[in-house]
Amino acid sequence: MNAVECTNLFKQYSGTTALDHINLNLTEGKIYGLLGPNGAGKTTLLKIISGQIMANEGQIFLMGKDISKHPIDDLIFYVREYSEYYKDVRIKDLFELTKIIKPSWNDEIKNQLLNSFDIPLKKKFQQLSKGQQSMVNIILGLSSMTPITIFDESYLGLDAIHRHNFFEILRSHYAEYNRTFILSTHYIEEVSNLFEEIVLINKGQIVGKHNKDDIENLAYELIGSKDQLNKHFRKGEILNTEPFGSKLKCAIEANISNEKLLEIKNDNIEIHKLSLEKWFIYKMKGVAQNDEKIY
Amino acid sequence: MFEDTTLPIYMQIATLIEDEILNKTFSTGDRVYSTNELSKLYTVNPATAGKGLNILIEEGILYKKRGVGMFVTQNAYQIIQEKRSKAFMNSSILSLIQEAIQLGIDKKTLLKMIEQYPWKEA
Repeated sequence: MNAVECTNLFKQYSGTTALDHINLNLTEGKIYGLLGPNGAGKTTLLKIISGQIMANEGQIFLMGKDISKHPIDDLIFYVREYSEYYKDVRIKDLFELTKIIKPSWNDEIKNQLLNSFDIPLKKKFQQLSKGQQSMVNIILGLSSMTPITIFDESYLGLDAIHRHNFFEILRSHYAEYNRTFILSTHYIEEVSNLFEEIVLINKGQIVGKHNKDDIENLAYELIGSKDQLNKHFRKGEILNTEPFGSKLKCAIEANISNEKLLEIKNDNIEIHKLSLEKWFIYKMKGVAQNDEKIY
Repeated sequence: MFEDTTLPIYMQIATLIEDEILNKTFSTGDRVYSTNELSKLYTVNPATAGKGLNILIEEGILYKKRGVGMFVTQNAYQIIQEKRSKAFMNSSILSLIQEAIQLGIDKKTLLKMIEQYPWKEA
């Protein structure tokens, strides 16, 4: 079943197109990474999916239900970094209020999470440190137990230890409860191992949807002479090249069989896995270059 | 997390279990880590961990007992040994020789160096 189904989503803000006819299906029970440069339309898309704002055109289905005209709060939780709405609410009350809005709320999970994150319950949201605010948002998102939960850069305030803690809790929730998570982030490398699928968005359009393990199987970084590299790879397979001493450092996206890998190594070409972050950067650069050719 | 940087994570996970069969941590009939245990151990998506285990099933190194777990087959050790010996020639020996050539170490000297290495037979 599709957790999220968007058809032809179109959104304009005072003449500027934020989403340009997006079609996107997300399968239930997966962790998605939504990646895109600043201003790509990530937050607009996530806000529309979660019913915070309305699209000008298009349809959205959550767990098979049409929410284009009437948002259904029960199905989805959109966790952002900071919210004006509840800045004056005491944390204790914030949990109680959310419990009313989200019928699937689970107090046991909330209490478990409060044990691993140290939160002063009697303070107001805006009195908390940035890290504590992130923790509260995460507790809200996880305890809500909504089938679809979005974390829109909502863990940026956490230090490394708490971030790691969050990833582990997220992973175990996902394994145990078959929930669908969408993570939008700039810190790609750190969470990349948690993703099952990666959705690329740029200039209001979906420019790619990939299985994360497939990317790892295709994306490599090689160091060798120009002639050697040309011998093994076609132009279309090369994502990026840059000088590396007297040689070239080259990022590729190609199927490499074991036999070919051996030939490459025999030619004294150094080969590594390309990091997901670099893959993302080169992919986005490629999109920009293609645009220039068109216009 | 792992050493061979050309391998995708699910392959690295498969290699890791192979290592534990080679070093006799797991023997024929033993239950190996579950998808969930592996995913927790390395903080990776369970689908990624599952893919690593499935490769070993396809190669006849593990077999699945539904609802119980994954177990080491009778031929597992032999299958891994044959496969990895081939890979040893194609990758470890290859890079050793390439580095030797780059350093100007000739064949005779390299063989002597290997000869002099204090071997500990298993």
